[in-house]
Amino acid sequence: MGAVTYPDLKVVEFVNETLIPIQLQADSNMAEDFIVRWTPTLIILDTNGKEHSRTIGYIAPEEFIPTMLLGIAKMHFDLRQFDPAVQCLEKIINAYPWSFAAPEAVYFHGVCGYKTTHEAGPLKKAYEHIAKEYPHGEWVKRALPYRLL
Amino acid sequence: MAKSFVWERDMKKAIERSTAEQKPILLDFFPLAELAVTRWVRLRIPI
Repeated sequence: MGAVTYPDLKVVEFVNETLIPIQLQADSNMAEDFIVRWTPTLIILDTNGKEHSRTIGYIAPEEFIPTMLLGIAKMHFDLRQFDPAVQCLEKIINAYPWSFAAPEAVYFHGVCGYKTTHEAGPLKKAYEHIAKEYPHGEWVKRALPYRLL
Repeated sequence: MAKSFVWERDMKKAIERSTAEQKPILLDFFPLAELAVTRWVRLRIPI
């Protein structure tokens, strides 16, 4: 990460604009508090320091921004801040549709749509989008029940 | 455009900045040891 992904200029710009980065040693007390057993482990925390998402393993520069956006969207989702969550998810869907994060972003976009409208339509639309664009991934299976709506 | 970003090293300060700037925190843990995987490639891994 330190040799390839973090020096990438798009990654630098994104982190400076979007996140407060903190790096700690894997043998620190904080690593024990967060139960970190392997690196790289990247965790998104809210302004109170509470965890909302984590990824384990190397992230290539082109995957870094959509991966972080998904983590930030999950943070907003957990905090019931659906509008900013949808903004992050739509950025992934529109700007990074080829990324690993995209199918999950479509899924959560549908869930946010349901949460804000209490209509089933967004869930079914999410399933149809995932089934069409990402038919071989895990998220089409997770969204499968919504085909019946 | 900045060519790098500066990592915070203290959680309390990171939370203060996060609150003030209303930005989420990216917490990364860096590895402790190096393992020679091949003659040409070295990966940093945790102990």
